[in-house]
Amino acid sequence: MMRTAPDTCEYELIQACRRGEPDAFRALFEAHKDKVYSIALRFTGDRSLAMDVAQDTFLKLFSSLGEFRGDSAFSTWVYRLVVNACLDHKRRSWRLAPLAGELIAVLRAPGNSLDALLHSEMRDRVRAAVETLSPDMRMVVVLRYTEGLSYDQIAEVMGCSAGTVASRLNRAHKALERKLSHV
Amino acid sequence: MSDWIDLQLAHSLTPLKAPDALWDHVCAPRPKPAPRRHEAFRWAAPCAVAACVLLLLIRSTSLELRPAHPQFVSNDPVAVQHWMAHEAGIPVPLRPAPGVRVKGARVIRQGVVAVVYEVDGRTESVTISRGAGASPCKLPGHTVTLAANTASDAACKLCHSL
Repeated sequence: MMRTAPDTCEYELIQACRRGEPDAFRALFEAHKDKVYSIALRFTGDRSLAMDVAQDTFLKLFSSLGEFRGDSAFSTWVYRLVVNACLDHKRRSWRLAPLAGELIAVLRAPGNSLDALLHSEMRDRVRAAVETLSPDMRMVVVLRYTEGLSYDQIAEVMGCSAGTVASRLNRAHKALERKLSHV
Repeated sequence: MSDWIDLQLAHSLTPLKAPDALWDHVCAPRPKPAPRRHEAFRWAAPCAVAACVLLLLIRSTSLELRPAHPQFVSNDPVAVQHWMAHEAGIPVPLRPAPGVRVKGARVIRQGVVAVVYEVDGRTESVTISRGAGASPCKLPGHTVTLAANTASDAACKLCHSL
């Protein structure tokens, strides 16, 4: 499980934010911006959308700091905010039919097979394949591989059991294997 | 789990540095949300569903009231009478009546039958069930209940001379 209380420095930052000190907001932002942006980008696959998701996350974070009671680690709380922002954004946005999603993923994957580009191409193909996963599976994959969270940590962030996390990850692996088998 | 997939995911989904512009984006005024649909549109779907349900109800009701299509087609009252007695267990003594022409009968379920007849060029029907109900009709030896789809007395003429 994650730490259940913020360290002293973070705790003081949170208190300063609650007092409305502008520098504290900026410091808290700097401490968590890479994590929030990474998850948002790896989940959405689009820089512009990731900026919007990150904006939503930080606005929610700043406006609801008073609700953070310290029951879980502050980082867990931030993870929950960004996960919810990603899933909310997904729900709000118009979703193409899965088949069209697959087509877009294929179109987005570069077709250049030059040796020098092979690694970059493979990464793009893997990311494109990840983007076709269902939101729940994709989020588990992002939290696992982008943030390196354990099954228990992911379960705590997503509000489900570690068994569910393992199951989603297993299904995601199988789906990705099928999608990337032709590579 | 495939080690290859594990490795590819680890290579492809590495964490990133947030762009410097993110702070400005967070502090920037939020774009105005898309204008909400007019209130009328919000109710459009529920109203459409309600209208469909209403139409189905009306349709099913009208189907109930509409003369039943005969299962056994015959203009001979005695033949229809025998068929009804055999198929539905309702021995109703049908008789030829002036102005009313029997067209046939249909079993709705055991003990309930609809007699289809023609009067004044219109096809009508009367549902006959065994036992005394809201509109009982006493026949020699038993009682049946009638439910006609019109208020005319033509249905009565099927068995009685009025």
